[in-house]
Amino acid sequence: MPPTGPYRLDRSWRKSRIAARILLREQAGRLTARDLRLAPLLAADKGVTSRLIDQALYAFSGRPYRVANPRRAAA
Amino acid sequence: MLFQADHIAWQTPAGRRLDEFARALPPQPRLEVNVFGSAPLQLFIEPSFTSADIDLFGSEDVYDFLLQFVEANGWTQQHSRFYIQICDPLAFKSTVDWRARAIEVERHGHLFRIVHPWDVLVSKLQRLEEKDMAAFKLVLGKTGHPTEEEFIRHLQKAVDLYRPKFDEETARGDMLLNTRILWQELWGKSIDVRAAIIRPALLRAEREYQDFDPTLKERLGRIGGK
Repeated sequence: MPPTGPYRLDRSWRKSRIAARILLREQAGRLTARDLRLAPLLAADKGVTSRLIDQALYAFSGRPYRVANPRRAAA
Repeated sequence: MLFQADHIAWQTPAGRRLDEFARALPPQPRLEVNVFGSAPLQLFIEPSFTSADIDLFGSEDVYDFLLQFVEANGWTQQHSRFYIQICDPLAFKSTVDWRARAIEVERHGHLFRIVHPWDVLVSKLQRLEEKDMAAFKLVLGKTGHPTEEEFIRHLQKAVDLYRPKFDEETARGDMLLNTRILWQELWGKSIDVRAAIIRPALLRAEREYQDFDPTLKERLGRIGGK
C-alpha cells in the first residue's frame, strides 16, 4: 500500500505516472494487455494531463524536471 | 553576485538606525521588515553613500503599527535628520523574484529582509533621477557588476515594469527610455530594449508553460485504440 497522509501521492499524479510507464513500454514495444485496457481509461481521465505525464517521464529518467529551461544560464 | 548577512555595515547611519529600530520594537509579534531604497547600498556597497532615509515596509497588517511606532520614536522626516520612511508594500517594484535574493538577517528577534543591490537598482531605474544614476555608478564602480549581460538578464525578470503605465502613474518615469539612457551612460552604447529584454523575457515565460510535449495524452489515447 502506498503511504497515506501527507506523503500520499496525488491521485492525478499517480495515474499520470502509470500513463507514463505505459508510454515507455509502448516505445519499447512491450505493451501488455493491462496497458491496452488502462490506456484509454487514463486518456479519458481529466486529472491525467500531458504536463503531469511529462513530469513523470522526467522523474523516471532521473533528470530534474524542467521547471526552468536547462539551457538558461543562472542569473 | 552574492551578498551575505555578515557583509552588512551596521556602523553606517542606516545600519545604526535599523539596529535602534529593531531594538525598540516590542519582542512580540515577530515582525518581518523589508529594507529597500538607498539603504541597502549603504549597508552593502559603500558606507558613505548618501541616503537621507531608510525605506521600510512590512506586511500589510502591520503598516499602521509601523507608522505609529516610527512616529512615537521621533524617526519621521519631521523629527529626524536621518529618518525612517514606512512605505506601503505596493510601493516597491522590482524583479519578480527579488525576495529570493534578498539578504535576511535576524536583529533583536525580528527578521530584516534587505533587498539585493541589483534589485534596488531595478527599482531606481523606474525613476532614474540624478541620484539614481549615481547609485548605478556606485554599484558598478565598487563591484564591477552587474555587467551589461548580467543586467539584461536581470531586467528580463522585471519585464512587467516595461508595460505601458496607467494614466494615474504619470509620476513614474518611462522604463524604456530610462533603460536606453542608462545604457548610454554606463556602457556608452544604445540598447534595443524590446529585442534584448522584453521579447526574450516573454519567450522565457512562454517556455515555463509550454516546455512539455502537449501530445502525450493524445498518444496514450491512441494506444487504447490499437
